[in-house]
Amino acid sequence: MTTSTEDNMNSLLKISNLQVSLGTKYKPVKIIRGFDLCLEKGEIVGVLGESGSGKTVSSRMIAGLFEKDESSMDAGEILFKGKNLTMLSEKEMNMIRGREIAYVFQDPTMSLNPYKKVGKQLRDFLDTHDIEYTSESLVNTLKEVGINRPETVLEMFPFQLSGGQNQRIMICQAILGKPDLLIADEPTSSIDAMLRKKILDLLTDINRKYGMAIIFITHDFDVAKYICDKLVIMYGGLMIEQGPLERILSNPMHPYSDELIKCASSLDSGDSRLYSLEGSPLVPSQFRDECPFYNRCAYRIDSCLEGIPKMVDVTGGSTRCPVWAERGKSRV
Amino acid sequence: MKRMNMPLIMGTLIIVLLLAVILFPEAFTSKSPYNMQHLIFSREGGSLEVEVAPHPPSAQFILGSDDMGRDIYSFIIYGTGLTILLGVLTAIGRFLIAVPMAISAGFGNGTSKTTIRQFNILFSAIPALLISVIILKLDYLAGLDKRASILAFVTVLSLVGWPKLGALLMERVDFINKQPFIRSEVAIGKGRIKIAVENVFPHLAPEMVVLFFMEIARALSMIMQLGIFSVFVGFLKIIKDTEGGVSFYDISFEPEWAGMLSTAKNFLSTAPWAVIFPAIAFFISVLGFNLFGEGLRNILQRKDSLFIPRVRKLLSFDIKYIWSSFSRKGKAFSVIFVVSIIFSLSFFILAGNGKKLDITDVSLPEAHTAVIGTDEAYAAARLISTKMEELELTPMDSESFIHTYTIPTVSLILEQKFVLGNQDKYSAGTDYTILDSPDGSFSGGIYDATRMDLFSMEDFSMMEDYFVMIDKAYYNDAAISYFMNKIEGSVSVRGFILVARSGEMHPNIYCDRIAPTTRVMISGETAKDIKDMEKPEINISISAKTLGETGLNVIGFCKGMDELLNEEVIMIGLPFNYSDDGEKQILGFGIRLMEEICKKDKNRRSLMFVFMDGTDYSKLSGIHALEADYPYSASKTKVFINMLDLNQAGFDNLIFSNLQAPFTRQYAWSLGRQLKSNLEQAGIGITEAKSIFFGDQYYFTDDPTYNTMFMDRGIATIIIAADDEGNGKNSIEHLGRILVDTINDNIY
Ligand SMILES: Nc1ncnc2c1ncn2[C@@H]1O[C@H](COP(=O)(O)OP(=O)(O)O)[C@@H](O)[C@H]1O
Ligand SMILES: [Mg+2]
Repeated sequence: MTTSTEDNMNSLLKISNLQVSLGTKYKPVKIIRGFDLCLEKGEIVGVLGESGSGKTVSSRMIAGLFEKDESSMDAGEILFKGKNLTMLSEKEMNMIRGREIAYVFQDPTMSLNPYKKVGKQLRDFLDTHDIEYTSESLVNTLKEVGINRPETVLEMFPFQLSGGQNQRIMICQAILGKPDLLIADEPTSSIDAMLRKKILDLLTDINRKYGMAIIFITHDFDVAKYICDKLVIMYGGLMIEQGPLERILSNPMHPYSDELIKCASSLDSGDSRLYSLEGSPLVPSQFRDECPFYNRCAYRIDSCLEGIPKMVDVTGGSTRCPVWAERGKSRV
Repeated sequence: MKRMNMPLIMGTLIIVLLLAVILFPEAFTSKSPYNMQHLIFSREGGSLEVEVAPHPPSAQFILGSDDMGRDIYSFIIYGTGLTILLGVLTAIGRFLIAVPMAISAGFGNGTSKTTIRQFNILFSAIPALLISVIILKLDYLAGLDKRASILAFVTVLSLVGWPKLGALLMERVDFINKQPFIRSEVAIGKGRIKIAVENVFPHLAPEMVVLFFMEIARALSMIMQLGIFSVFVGFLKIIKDTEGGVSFYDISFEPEWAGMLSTAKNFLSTAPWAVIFPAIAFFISVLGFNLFGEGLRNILQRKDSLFIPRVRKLLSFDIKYIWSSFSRKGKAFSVIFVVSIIFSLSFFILAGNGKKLDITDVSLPEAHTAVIGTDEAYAAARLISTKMEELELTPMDSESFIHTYTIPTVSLILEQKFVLGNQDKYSAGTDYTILDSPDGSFSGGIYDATRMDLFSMEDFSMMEDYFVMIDKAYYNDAAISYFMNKIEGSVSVRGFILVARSGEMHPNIYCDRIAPTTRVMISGETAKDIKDMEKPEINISISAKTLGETGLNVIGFCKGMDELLNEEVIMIGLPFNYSDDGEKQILGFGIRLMEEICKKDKNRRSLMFVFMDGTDYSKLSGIHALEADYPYSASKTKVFINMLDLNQAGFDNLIFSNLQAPFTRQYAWSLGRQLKSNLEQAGIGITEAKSIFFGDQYYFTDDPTYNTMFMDRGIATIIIAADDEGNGKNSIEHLGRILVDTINDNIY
């Protein structure tokens, strides 16, 4: 598998077998049981999953946003531009955070310091990394992310702005550092539906213009469909399928992916009887050594209970369902 | 419409009121909190009623009095300062411990976290109150002076009280750290410490401001509870020998609320007012600080409050400087600081053991006498006031050190003679005192009326042409002057000879020139001589001159160096009249004493020097004018050292009394005791001034002016006077040195 190691070297980000526990030292809870990701420069990858499936935890782990005493990485490695991020010191991480990996949070208004004016917030960021700027360049970048009257906005506090505006400020801050990777954790979920598309377009523009790779986290298949090149689908703290968007849409290789697509398309088609998934999502306390989707799966067989299934390579990605992988192979 | 912030308004009102009371207690009460009135006399239906303290609330004692007859109201007013100060200092102390602990714990320092938790557990198992009581009741702590006692009190209250605050703050820091925007600060690559400085401090600040006021309230209520356990600042065990043995008293000296509770709780059933009112004072203050904190919280925690951005600005401006000076330099500075404090303290202790106080280098006026109402007295007053100006003392009012007062018309005796039979051995002032007489020489026989009942006599013809001798011991002054008028109205007499009551004789320098015939007072011994004579003959000659009607008090104020103590004043009263060269030296002594005490800037308290006129005749004494128009706050005048009767430059014994500096006046009491022991150590004999104990206090019988300041103004008084007998083996310079040293020793 020489090609794969070469991939490692060239990939912007390569995560393999990430396992994370959260909670105190005395009572850790395993949250992420297996997460892999491979991201090239300029790609947009979507991380898709129901809420509680571990998207936020895994993406924050990438940026090292947990305190040392609240998280532990049990296995795996995070290679960013060839460097193993988990081995870096706090100081070295600080050089990367914001500068090379930017993070946009789910709730922009809460994530901006309520007592800092927008201008102060942005300048603070630029000063932290000694990035040269002029007030003109600041205003221009604000314009670029779609802020009207940027001069006025610079003098305002976050609570005086709308959620959409604050999200643009966050994105503006993210692109001011011209990072190679932008992690956006459900950036549109707390914004009015009307504005969602605009933010998505903005992210696509940025991606094109700066060649910035984006990890786009969402629970909404439609949003993912709109923006992503590749998808990683998560369930119960496990990645269960990954591959190019087209292939997953046309030929999902995991029963759960299949269900997700059905839900989404029933919404799109305006079907009066919405298709929905029976049962409830898996929470960390219910984690067992078996296929996480077993309880809700229509295709389950006894062998699904024999340990957590391994990822199986299939054409255009990989899946954690050996049954469908087998079937797909046979179908091909 | 804006909703009113009621807690803030109420809290502010209460705090402003407290501040006003602290800053201007005089505006709220004219009474000195130290004044004691144990007994109240009143006439009811012709009989005398005596009421013993504690007195219930009345027009005289608005809120009643305590068991020592001190006015509760003025005690509360004057106690506000110290009580609130204690609360504030305790709150500061707790913050000094809790804030660093809470912040380091909030940032994951395990030791701090555990410390806060364990202390909280400890103090919930054993109440902090109990620990404080046990520690503060230790004999060592109980015997400290005021400042050390405050320090000990605040330290203990801080140590037992901080964990609760620490836990609160730690929670708050945790909460701030969990705010989503902190995570986004991490995400942009900021360092932890920078985030802490920029966010945790400023976001904690409004909470701290709020908690600070609440903490004052908490501290105050703890102080109140401690008071009930007889633990309070300024408390001293008084050991008193009684018949049953030795008993201990916990007495509150300083006006302070907790102390009031402590002493008054024993009278809860008989004098509930003595407990209730201080408790209400506590209640109102606790409420005030709590409401104020609550009100502030309402403002500060509004999102659009500009408080946090301002604090942040302040912090980010200063922090670089603090950071840089914190390393080696900071440590060096603090070491130098501590060392210099120790150094200056030891300097204070060691300084002041100098030589005698030499009075020969004072240039005195040429005149041989300077008595009240003469130009010479004015010249002496000018000399003193020039000296005060040189020493940079300040006058009490307007520009002049010299305060004038009006004196009754009186004459100075220029020459006098008193011959009994053919004996000319009698000396003025001790054997006889001419009270009132026209000028001239008068002689005649003596008619002894001492055994007669003058009340029932109608016929006085047998007294014709005689000097009539009357014993003052049997009649009061009004009766005597009534007899004299009656006798003079019916027959013509030569004059009256009045036998003095015991201790009534006084120096014979002044007399009146009102009566038509001579009135002379004689001592008991002289009277005995007369009675022993078969046919007593007497010759009295006198010439006198009427004096001016103005007395002069020269008052200078020497400000103390200690910001905390220079409100307090030590008043030193000195005479400046003289009628011979020996007395003239007393003036020199007074000036030197003032020079010596004021020239070094080492007095912590302020001093007020009062050179009084007319001190050799109580009727003319400047002390009455001073008392009637006292130029300073009586409650802040901690002691009056009365040396007005010091009229000998050499002596064996001194008359000394600190009876009017009782234990309730801490400063005066301890100064008095120290002065007494220093005098004794120096080999100067001490004679107690004659006094009677009446009600709850001592009255001096020798001289009515001794009592004036204490009885009428409530100013504790220490009497130092010359004892008439002796051959002067001790010099006044010696006394001066002891006074200077004792005052300079910064005793409590
Ligand atoms: N600090 C934490 N301690 C313990 N469990 C956590 C913590 N944060 C998140 N979890 C749990 O981890 C799981 C995954 O959370 P998350 O990654 O936020 O899901 P999402 O996919 O919705 O972003 C959830 O079940 C959540 O309850
Ligand atoms: Mg999430």
